[in-house]
Amino acid sequence: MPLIADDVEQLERQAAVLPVADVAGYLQDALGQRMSAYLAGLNDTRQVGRYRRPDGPAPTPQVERRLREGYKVVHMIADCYDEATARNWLFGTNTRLDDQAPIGVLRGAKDPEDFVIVARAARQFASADA
Amino acid sequence: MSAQTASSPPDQARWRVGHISDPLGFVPHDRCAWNHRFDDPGRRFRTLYWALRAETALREVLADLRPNTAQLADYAAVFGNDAL
Repeated sequence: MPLIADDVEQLERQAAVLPVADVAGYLQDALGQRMSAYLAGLNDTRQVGRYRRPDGPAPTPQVERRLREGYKVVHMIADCYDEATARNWLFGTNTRLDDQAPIGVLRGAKDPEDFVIVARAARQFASADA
Repeated sequence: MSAQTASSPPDQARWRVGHISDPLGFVPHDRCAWNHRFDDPGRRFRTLYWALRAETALREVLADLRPNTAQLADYAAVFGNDAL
């Protein structure tokens, strides 16, 4: 089912307000432990699982932002296609990102614009806009 | 202004993969990437991309799923080959 504007608005709200434990849990289920850690810029595969625990540690602001943006883009694509497509898209050679892989942009993201371009690319892919 | 080109006869079919709600319509402004070959640098005019073969149109849409080997290599360097 293609993505529509209302879906995007709802996802943006969810990504912003959900507890980080829920965000980490979703990513861990959809992508697996290692891929979600990689997306967040972490090298310890168990760290996302720690964030998932209600009494777990809080991520740094930068890692939290990557997790929340990752939640948004993975949801956009998984809801329209499936989780396997979302995983392949994350590691794809994306023409909208100057042939970078979305997961690489998220992993190294520091500026707000990095997150904006990945979210826009996900939205375009989920909307089937060429 | 004519849309036809010297190399493609006007009666030849063109293919495009688009959203079912308006497959031949322009991409909404807020979703334009503006970084494709014939996109307007001034972001005023939108471009519709077509192909002479259905296979080409599908490949264009699926291009984002081509594995990025450099990224996969980095991922394997961090978590090992069994992570792939």
